[in-house]
Amino acid sequence: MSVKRLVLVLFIMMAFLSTMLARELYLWMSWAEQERKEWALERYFPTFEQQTGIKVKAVEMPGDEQTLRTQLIAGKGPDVVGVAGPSFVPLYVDAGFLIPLDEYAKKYHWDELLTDLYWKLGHYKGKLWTIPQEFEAMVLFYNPRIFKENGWKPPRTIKEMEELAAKMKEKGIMPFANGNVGWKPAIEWVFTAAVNHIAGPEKVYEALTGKIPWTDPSFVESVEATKKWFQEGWLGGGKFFSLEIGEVYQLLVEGKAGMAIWGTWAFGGIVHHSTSPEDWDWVPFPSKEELPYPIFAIGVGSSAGINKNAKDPDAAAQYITFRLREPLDNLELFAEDLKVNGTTVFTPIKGFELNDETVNRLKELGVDERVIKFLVLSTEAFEKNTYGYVTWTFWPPESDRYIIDNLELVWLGEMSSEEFLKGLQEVFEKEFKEGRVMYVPPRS
Amino acid sequence: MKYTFTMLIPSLVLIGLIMIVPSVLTIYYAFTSWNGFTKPTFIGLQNYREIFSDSLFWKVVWNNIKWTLFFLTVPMILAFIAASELNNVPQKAKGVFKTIFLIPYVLPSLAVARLWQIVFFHPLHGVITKVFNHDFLGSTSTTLWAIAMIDNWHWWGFLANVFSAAIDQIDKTYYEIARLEGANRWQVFKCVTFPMIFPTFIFMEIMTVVWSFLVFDYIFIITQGGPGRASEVLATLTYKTAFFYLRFGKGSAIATTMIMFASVPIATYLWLISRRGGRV
Repeated sequence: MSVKRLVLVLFIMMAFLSTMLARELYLWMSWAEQERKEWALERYFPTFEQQTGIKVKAVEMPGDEQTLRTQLIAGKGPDVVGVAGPSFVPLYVDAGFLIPLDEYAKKYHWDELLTDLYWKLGHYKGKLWTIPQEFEAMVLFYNPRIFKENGWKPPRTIKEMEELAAKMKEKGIMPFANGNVGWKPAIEWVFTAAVNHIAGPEKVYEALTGKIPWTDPSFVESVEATKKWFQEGWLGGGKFFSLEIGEVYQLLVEGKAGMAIWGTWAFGGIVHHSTSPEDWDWVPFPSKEELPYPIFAIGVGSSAGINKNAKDPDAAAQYITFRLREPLDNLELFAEDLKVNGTTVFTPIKGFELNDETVNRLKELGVDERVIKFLVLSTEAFEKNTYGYVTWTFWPPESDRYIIDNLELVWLGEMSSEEFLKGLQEVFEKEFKEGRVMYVPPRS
Repeated sequence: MKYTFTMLIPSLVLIGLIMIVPSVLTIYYAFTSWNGFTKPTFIGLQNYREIFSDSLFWKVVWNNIKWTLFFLTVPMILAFIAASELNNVPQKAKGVFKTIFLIPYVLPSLAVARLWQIVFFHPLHGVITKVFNHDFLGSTSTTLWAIAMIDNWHWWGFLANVFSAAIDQIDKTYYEIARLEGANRWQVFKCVTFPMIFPTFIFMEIMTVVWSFLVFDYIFIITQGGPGRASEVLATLTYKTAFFYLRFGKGSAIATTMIMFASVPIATYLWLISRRGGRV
């Protein structure tokens, strides 16, 4: 064999070998906007690949959670499994879909990174199974231009908010840009806001830990308030059940709606509809006068686990680490991520402080000040114990579903608030006894 | 005979895999408690006891009955009128009209549902919303009928084509005799057209009952059974019980009740045929 031919053969063999040995990570992604997809494929994943040498194969999620479960049952699915929330972790673990993450936690020092809340939320039966991601909270969005034109101030109390809603309705402005067509669970945002800001986080904690029932008068008052908001024609302008979730951002930025009861995941969506800083802003959701202000009802959008059938579980663990450490290791990338995806990309971690230096640097990198404001205030809420609990993180799955399906019956007058809460208590009690309520951070 | 049976094997295997196996499994799971993750546990008739004692189930059955009554009448009447009039139209024009009637039927249900949801029934700027000043899809009293109207728009043209094809098979001599005897259009329809296409009509009525108890797509796309379960039907209840509440056993039990309801008209049809010597 000639030298040239030998070199060619060796080259082909090495190329083949490197393909065989190349590490690969298979991910399912859900991109609401094209911009997010482009940024992920052109910037985020290449940065990860450069850092780790692991090739990312990311595809648009081919369906919903049911599709994911079917794939997992068939022994397939993505390497990093996005579990809908901590309350679903027991189901995935008991079904044998995930591997325990304790060895990776040690290897990549996740225990030193994660705050107590997130560390414990990922545990089940004494082992770590998922890393909670997508930190979010319920807040009140509003249109500053409309407020300015009418001489209104953002409300701090429930009473102020209701007075404003009445004034907006008189002027033909939709008080709250909220609807549930396209996303039925949007109704639980309203319930979450009400129980945390009318009954209060202390009461919610007591109910979640089984100390008081959901039939407590404070929760009756909260549910009655949501019924009032609907029956007064404030939620979605009275069209809550026919207004599309995809339209609500446009309604707020155009000034057709004055306020909106959304979570901070909306930062990632509304920026793609807004053309001016006067289009939108947010304040902490108003609370009943007797309660502290501000309160942030916090939650976890999803949790990342590793597929039992992942070819390279360590690659998946490295990706989880890359995501967690993003603010620490690459502030520029983190700033871009915040601009494109909003605050859902942020998981509060130890060692990352939102001090003046970091805040100024984020501003220089073009991160919206309204987004930075949330990062700062919500971190403070943790420290001051003025946080609450969202239903999709802290309620067990059947109880959560019960709220989604039955609260509308209360609003439509087909069920009383008492009956609704009695039903919730029955479902919750059963799940509580089965150990399906995940970690509820204690009040200090 | 052997050759015939051999040729039938591929179809039988397909039917077996796609229809019989899932059906048998559904019946099996109906007697279990299963969350779709871990192994199912046999619980006997508990799912059925729960279903039949739940007022929601009966509310949903009533929705299916209302849906069925709508589709047994409105599209049938529209299809009959169209098919009868097509009979009087020149042959060339008949083809054009039949194609136009069929267009909504060939559109995907997602496209049809979204079109009507956004253009006609949008709560803020829908054409029908503005004309009637009413949010049809957001109101418990009108949502089911509004969705039925959307599905009707999709369906009636196909029905018109079926009836038109049946009318085309009628010997024209009967119409000549009727005209010679001085029959008006209504009498011609009543005494010639309708009796002649009665087997087709009765078959479509039976199938309408079956399909009405299986309805899922339009309701799930547009309202997912809301608001307040006003548009919930058995198929959406089955789906939600299984995939949202993770109670696949109970969902399977609801699905088997759908089979029971759908088999009543089929059994009736077969009985009618057997009584009339193979003809309806």
